[in-house]
Amino acid sequence: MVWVDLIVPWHNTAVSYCEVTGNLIVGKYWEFTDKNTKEVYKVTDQSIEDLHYKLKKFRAKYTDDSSGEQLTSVTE
Amino acid sequence: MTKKSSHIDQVDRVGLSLLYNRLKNICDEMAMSMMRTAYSPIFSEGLDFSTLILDKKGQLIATAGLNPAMLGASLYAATWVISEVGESNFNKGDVYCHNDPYRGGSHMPEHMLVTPMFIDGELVAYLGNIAHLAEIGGMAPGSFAADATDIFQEGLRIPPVKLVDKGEQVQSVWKIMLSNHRTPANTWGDIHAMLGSLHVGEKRLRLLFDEIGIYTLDLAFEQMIDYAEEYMRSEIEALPDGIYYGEDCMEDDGITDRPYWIRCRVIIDGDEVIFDFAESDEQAIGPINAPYVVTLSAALNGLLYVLAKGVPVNAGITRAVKVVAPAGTITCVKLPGPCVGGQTEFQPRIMELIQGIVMSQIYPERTAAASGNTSFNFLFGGVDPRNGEYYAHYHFEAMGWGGRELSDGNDAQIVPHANCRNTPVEIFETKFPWIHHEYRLNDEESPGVGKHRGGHGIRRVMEVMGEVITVSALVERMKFKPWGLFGGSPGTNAKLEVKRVKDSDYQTFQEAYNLVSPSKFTNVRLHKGDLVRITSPSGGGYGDPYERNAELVLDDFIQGLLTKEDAKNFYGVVLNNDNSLNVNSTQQYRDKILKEI
Repeated sequence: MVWVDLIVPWHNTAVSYCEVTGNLIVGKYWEFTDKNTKEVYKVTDQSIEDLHYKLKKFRAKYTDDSSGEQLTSVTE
Repeated sequence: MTKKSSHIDQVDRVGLSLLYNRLKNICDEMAMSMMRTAYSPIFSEGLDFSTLILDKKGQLIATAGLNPAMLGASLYAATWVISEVGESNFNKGDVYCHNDPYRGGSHMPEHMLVTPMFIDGELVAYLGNIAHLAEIGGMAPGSFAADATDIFQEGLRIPPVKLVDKGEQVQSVWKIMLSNHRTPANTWGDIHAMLGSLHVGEKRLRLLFDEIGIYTLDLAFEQMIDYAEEYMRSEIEALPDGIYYGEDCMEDDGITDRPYWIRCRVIIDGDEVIFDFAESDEQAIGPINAPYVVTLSAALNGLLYVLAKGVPVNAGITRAVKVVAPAGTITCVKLPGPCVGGQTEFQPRIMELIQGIVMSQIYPERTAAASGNTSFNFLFGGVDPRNGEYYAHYHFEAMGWGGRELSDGNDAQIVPHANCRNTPVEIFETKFPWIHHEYRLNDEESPGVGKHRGGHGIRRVMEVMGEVITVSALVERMKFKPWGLFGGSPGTNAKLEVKRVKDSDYQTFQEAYNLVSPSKFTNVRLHKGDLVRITSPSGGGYGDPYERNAELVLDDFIQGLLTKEDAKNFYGVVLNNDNSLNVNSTQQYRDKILKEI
């Protein structure tokens, strides 16, 4: 878990995205390793690490138990 | 409120409110200046722009709020520009310009200008504006290439560069820009309107700093942000925790004949909300993708539509909201994907998905059925036979909004997320070589019926007066109708038709020119005498149509918006031969229908 400077030469026009939210990474990024999968993530700031774990918890509910949810599809 | 000599800990709530209104008024005056000095109707008539006051970190403090679609860019783009350029590279009199959707912009026609403000050498704030330039080059006049497959086809992309350096125009940058736009005189005039607006804003803000003091105003900025966060959190906390779901789709991307699905889980968790778009389809080949800030804008606007009516719109509103839009999906396009339609077509789709489909599960009384939900982008350009000059225009069309708990949907309004105005026929015909045959409410089709019906779309028929006009379109809602809510029926589809001089009747552009999509095409050449017929979609209905006040049905009939037969068929309302309301027969007919159900 560490802040890393995003060093990009001025002539490099590539873009970096937060690997959790999709937001743009500018200047520096927060890097952390998932406690369970050991995957490394580059994200915009520290709060996104918490979001990552929250999402894992909530996404497990989407797939495991969708019986109570209101699924709404709209095409006419 | 006191000047910086007395170091107070906080500004009281009344003082904050007064200051916030002063700041909003400055933004309004900046907007007025821009509207009155611009060259293009999209500025002066359409008001397709926003004006911004930002603190010394680039955080949004106040905005004129003319165009909610620019909210995401207003919140993030300036901070990213400052981060990329470096604060130390901002000098007094500098103005940076950029339009890069891959650096916080919404789509390339929208250009942002940012200027720093110094007092006694100290950086105290930034002023900014974002505005839609009508023409920025690329493969189609009007710069909405509906069959673009990468961003390079969509026009001139400008990273943050100085347009004005310590008060001096940077001619080399201007020359690149003007040489790549089809209507450079308009670009020159419109960007100068933006520059003028920054000058007005700086003058007024300087007066406020002089009056209040740097310390106190800076403190007030922080408190305004904190207050917005607190307000949002309290409103979110009042919602029942849970995971809510909604989905809707874009009908096609102009390249492939298939829908693209947007799927959203809205997670209410205490005083925070997460919008998770991870299950959405992959990014499209054509230009309907959204950059991250567009999805962010849409989610925030969908939420603000239902919650927090009095919240100051500033950087604080994002702190309790997380938007997850993985890169490579249609909700967060990856370079070099095209995205010009993301702002105009994709954003309203998500906004209404949130405010209507999702929030109707929580706050049914605060939501609305779908609007026509397309900006109906119709672009054209050519040489004006009246003066021999090249012109180009980005036209958006009004349509019907969705019915809601307390009223019918508005008729003939620009799509809700953009809050723009239509361009009057007189301006249209003065500026461009078209002549109008019709411009009226579309009373030939009923909007979505319901306790409160959808608003009517419009019908516009125009004739080409130039030798050749090259037209393009990037529209939605030609295949899927705007949805109704709580028993209301769907609204009607959009149509875009042509009747060439040689034709006996109207046909769709798709039929006439063998196109992949009925709603998205580029560079069709029309000739003198050809007619174009625009029918914009109507809104969906809200609630059971048999609960509609019979007097409202009668009123629609009297206004010519409904036939006597439809009054009975759609609403169970019986009208007498003298066109008065038959109360008893109406009640009996409605009771009979209800029993049958």
